[in-house]
Amino acid sequence: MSRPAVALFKKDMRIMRVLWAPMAFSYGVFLFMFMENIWIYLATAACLTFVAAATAPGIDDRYGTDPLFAALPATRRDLVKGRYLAWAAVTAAGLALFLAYTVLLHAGFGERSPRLGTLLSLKGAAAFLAGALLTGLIFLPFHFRLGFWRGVWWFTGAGFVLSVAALNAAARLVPAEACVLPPASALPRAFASTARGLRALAWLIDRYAERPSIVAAAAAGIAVLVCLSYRLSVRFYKKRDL
Amino acid sequence: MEHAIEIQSLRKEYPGFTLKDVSFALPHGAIMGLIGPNGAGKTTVIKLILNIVRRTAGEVKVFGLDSIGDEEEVKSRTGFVLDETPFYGYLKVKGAASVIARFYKTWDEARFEKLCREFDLPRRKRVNALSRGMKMKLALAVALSHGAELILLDEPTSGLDPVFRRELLERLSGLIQDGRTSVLFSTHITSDLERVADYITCLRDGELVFSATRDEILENWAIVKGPPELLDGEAGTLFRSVSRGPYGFTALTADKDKAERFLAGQGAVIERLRLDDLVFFLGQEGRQREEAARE
Repeated sequence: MSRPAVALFKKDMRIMRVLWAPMAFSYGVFLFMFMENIWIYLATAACLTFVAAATAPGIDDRYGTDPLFAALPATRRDLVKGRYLAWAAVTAAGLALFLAYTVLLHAGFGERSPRLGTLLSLKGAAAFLAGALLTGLIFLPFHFRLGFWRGVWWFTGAGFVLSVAALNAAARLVPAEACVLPPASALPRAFASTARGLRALAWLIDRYAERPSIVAAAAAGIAVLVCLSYRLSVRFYKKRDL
Repeated sequence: MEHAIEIQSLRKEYPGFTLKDVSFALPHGAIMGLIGPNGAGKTTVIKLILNIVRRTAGEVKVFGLDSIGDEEEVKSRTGFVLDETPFYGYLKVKGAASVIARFYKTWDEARFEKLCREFDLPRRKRVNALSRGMKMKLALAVALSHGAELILLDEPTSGLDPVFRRELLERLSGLIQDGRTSVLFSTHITSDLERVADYITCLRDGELVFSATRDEILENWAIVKGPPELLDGEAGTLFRSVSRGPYGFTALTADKDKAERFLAGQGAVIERLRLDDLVFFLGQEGRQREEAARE
């Protein structure tokens, strides 16, 4: 790892330090709020980890420091590398926090949320990592191409469209009885198809997640995505005027 | 001769502004002032040297090295102060410097501490609590703490009190005494340049107007005042940025000797030029050209 990339990584850790305690606290509060539904619990943990990792670019945007770091002895590639490294470190810390809180909540409130224990496994950790990494890997190229806030808006818009499309596709992949909504469901038609997609996704994960070939394919997919996301970010950042 | 900076046909296109094929060179051990009206392209040139913005065309060589191909090497030997002073406001002075220090192999912490003392910078104060002048001093202390051979300063004297401004200029003059350190700085305060600059480069509307030694400029350029009929004769070709009044005209000439020969005994007065006059007249000439183009 090059010296400037490590310097940027340490810089990101240094500027985020002030927010670690409030982040850890809010992480606990939100997880406690949603512990009765493990899917929402998992999604909340992944989202909070994304927010924590996005804090460093957010602070850079707030203080307008991008031109400063671009003028220091580092190539744009080094700066991108450093940021990916920081993102990976925050995701790893998020995973540790997620598992620690899950242990605590499971021990204290296991009766209220019996399925929480299923997250304390390789499958649970993998599900958390897949969510947290996926959002980060998609967000970072937007950030390096458009800057922080424009990147956030485009990422949110594109993420919403892609998620809806993927969930609708998932609903078509599974048997119809696997994604039937409860009869009392009063969702509008447009939302109902997406809700069916969520059920289909859960069904797919439950059924296939432990098959070694699926795990290997998912790992390979994530590796390809890391590569692609990093290359795109470098390419975008090299061309960007700061 | 190898130059500290060598810029060839440098071009940058923005929507609404183009830096047009600018070329100039800064020799080792010299101070160059970059002047011009607002929006002339001074900050763009400095940002292009530092690769903060990407050039559309042209070449920038620093210490004989390509500023993009040898980016890390070039930047490790360059210190800079940007027009904004982007530090993390909630960090203390020491912390703000430490995040930058890690990027330099040759960072000299003792020197930074010494500069902080000399600049009266409170190291335990948060950056947010510093005035603009103090932030500028912090940026200067950072730029001077890693043995840079080239110092790029974008409006470094703005926001500084006159006492510190003079001290800074003396410090810059002192820096180049080793013969290896060079300084390029842009400023609106042209009296600063008259005090310390060896070379002056002037930009206007993204174009290079001139790049020459300070003495050449002060010897060759002058202000001419005279009766209006002089403008119609052959001498009229010597004048630039002419402003007409009821009793005569005031104009700029880039060839003082020739103007003196032509205008001898014709009631014209040739006055010594100051750099702020030059910026004013060149700015006015730009506006006159724009108006002429619109008509």
